Amino acid sequence: MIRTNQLKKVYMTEEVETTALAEVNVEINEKEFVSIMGPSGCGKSTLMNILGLLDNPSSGEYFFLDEEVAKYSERKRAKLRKENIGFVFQSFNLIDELTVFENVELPLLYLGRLSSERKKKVNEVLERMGIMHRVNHFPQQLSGGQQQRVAVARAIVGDPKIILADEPTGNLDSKHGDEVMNMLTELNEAGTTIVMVTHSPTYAEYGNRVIHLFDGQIVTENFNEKFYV
Amino acid sequence: MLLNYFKIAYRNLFREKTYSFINIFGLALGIACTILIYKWVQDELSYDRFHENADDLYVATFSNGSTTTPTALCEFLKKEYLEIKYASRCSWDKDYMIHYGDIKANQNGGYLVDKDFFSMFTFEFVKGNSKSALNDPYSIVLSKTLAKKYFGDENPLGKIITWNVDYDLKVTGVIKDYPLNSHFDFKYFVPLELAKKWNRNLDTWQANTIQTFVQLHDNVTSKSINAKISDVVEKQISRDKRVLSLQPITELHLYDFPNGGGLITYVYIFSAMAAFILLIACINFMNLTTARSASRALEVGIRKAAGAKKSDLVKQFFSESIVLTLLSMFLGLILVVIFLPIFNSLTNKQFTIDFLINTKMVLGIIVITVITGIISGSYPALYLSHFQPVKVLKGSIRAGVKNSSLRKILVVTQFSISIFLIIGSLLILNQINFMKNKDLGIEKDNIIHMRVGSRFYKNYDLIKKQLLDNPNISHITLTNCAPYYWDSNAGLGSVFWEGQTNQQTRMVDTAVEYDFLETFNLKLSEGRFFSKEHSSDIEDAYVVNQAAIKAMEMEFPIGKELIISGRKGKIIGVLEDYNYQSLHKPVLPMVMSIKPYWLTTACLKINSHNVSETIEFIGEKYKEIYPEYEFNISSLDESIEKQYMAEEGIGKIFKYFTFLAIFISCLGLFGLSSFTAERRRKEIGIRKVLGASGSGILMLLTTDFIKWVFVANLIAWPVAWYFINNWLQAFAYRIEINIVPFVISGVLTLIISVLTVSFQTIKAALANPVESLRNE
Repeated sequence: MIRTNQLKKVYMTEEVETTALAEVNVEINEKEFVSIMGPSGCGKSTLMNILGLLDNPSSGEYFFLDEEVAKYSERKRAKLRKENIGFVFQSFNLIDELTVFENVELPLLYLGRLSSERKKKVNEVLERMGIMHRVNHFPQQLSGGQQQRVAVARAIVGDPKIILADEPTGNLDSKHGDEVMNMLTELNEAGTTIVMVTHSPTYAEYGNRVIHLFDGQIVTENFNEKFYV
Repeated sequence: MLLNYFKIAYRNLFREKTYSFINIFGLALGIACTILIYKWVQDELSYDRFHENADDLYVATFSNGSTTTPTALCEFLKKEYLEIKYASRCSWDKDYMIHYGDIKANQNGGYLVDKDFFSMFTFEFVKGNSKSALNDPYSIVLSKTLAKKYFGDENPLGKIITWNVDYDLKVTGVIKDYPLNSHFDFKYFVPLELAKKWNRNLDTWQANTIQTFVQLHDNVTSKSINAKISDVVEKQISRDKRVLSLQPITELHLYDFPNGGGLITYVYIFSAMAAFILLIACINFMNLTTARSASRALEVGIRKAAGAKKSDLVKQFFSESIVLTLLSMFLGLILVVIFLPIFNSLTNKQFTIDFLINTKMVLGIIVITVITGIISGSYPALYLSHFQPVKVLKGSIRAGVKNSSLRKILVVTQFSISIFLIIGSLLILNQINFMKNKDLGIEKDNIIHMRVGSRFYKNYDLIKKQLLDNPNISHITLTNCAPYYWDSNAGLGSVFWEGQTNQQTRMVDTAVEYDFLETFNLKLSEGRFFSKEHSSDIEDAYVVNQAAIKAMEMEFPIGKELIISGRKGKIIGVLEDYNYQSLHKPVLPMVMSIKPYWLTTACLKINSHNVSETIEFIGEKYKEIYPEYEFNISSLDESIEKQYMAEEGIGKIFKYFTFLAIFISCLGLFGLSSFTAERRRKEIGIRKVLGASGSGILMLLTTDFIKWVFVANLIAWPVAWYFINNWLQAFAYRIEINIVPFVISGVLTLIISVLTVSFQTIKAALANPVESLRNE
């Protein structure tokens, strides 16, 4: 599903050249649940942004659904993105001016779905996430856990093939963190590919594979045995 | 502490260069416009105020607005009414030939006046004595410039010059050049007494030919005397029913008598415009400052936590806005200096930089600056200072969300003003073009006119033949003055007619010659024009226009008897109405007759090719007849256009200031949209992550602004319609207001605002979404 070859990302500031990713080769197959771990500044988020088509690599190849997309324009990337990828962020990234319903509805709007279909789908997803009672609230009126559930609802409402979650539990207490992890697991079991960045070894264990990044390079790759017995 | 405030102000200035630029430059433009317009208004209001007795000086005016009075009126008023301190007659502005040594030229600005004149009006005598300068009928008082022209460095006093060809006059005084801010254009004076030498009747009630000025005693109001003098002319000439009253000379320039209106309308319009432009600039300042308030909120919190009182912060933000307005003021003054020459050419004024040093002006500028500073600083100062430290430190005050409705109102106000100004400019320009291009019903192309005298008329047949021998001259005719301003220069004659039932007693009384009809390609609706075949036409024939027939309520006018200013005659023809005055006025009743001694203007129709050669040819002929005079010629269509110079000048000013107002509005919009784009950066990022396209984001960010422009249109249209409609009432011939200028202004503002906003938002829309989210 995802394959990179010698992926490199270099940031240029006025004086310093910082290498965020150095020749990363990674392959993620359909229906996998991959956790990415590593210390702050090791390039996790950069890798996620490139995998999520939010940013272009400086060099190297990136095959997304067998398409070489490394040099795609923002317009082309936007199209691939909205049709295939769902995002969950550490800081939720909900739009404060929109209600829960409107936030979740957004991807469907961009996919050009009809109003009746959108309504049905949004309600269905919110029901599944257990936040139907908050449908007309604004993000600031919700707790962190509730906000993240809305974010997950938004990520899956368009039935993406892959969900990229960047520290989805980072701003949550353990109870709400567990909730989110269970949700992701359920989604994965239902067939959605998931790539997740996390600091927590416990949550990393939810995945069937853990990739360790350090200084922009993959240092180890562990397969979670419980999936292979 | 103050230093600390200024330091912060100074650093903010440089940290946010775009905002600072918009604020300072926008305000500077606003201040510059305001100063220039203020100067114009001040100048217009100052007309004729420099006379020491300005408040006591009046001109005798009839109820129809005419200030042309009988010559006997002046002496009568002075003798009969003790309220009157001085009175003087004054002829109308005229060119006379002045000859001294080698210099021989026509000089305009020549007036014949009575002795009292210099006691009433303030003239500074550089040489000679104002009391005695006009004692001898053979004397002349010259302006400094004229004296310099004729006498160079010689002392002009006592020198003899030849005036109006036949009269040798002694220079008895030299006056400082008369100020430009006057209704009059005085350049030199000759005693009216002299006119007796050419048998002019200076003591008659029979003909209205001269202006009458009076000076009232200090304690007398014009109201009390107006009640007494209203019927003095009627008492002498019973058929002249016009009411006489005194009009202050200080109002001559600004007010159209008796209906009001006039230049004062434009004084109001431009004052409002200056206020509008300053308001737009202030709105920019307030908008941008409040929008940015959140970025200052943390500073407010920290200062409050460190012990600052609310009043300290108010002081701080006021000093910031004062620093900005001061900077703007200096930049504004520089802009005034740069743009003054352009402004002068637009307004036909001759302002110099000196006016900025004038105390009133300095005071005015300081007041403008302080007011601007206070208005634009007040909202930010009061709004920012009330932030509660706990809230801002916890970060619960979000960037300018709360006061966005105020911002909307302010932006809508700005746009309403801009749209109003665009509609105004378009309609004013339409009206001017309409007046310039309206079919007047008279041939005006390729017609030239020049002043001639009795010598010309005496040999007219021969001269005419010689001129018409030139194939480039097709027609020539004579009249009392060029037929586009037959009102003040043609007399208003009192009229009586056969079967008279109503009180229409005055008509514009004009003199023409046999070829007049053909030269100007006029049409008769009835009867015939003057013809040499009818020898009595020169004595007793009248041709009137349709307006006159209507006024006299005549059904069968041909052959009816008419008595005009005592001359008896019969109507032989009726002309179709044509505009013989500026289009401010409707076609008034008019009567034509052949009066040889009135025919002082020659009109020639020439071929549009070889114009300069033809004019040269005419000039040669003219010199043969008048070797001692200068040859001056005007073209009719230019003379007609000149009548609309005031409107044209005003249209131009309106256009340029409208442009500036829009520009300043756009500056503000630019700042505001970049602020909005920045504030919604996170939202843009999220939307893009979720698949929004660049154009979608652009739509999202511009829709709001488009909505505001739409609302602004709704507000501006009716207001503009109301005011323009009022303005148009001053014209007898005016355009119909249609929807087009309104739609144009709406679309124009929409395009301009979308372009301005897009400039910022395209950047945000095209950025990688990760850029927007990274800083979170």
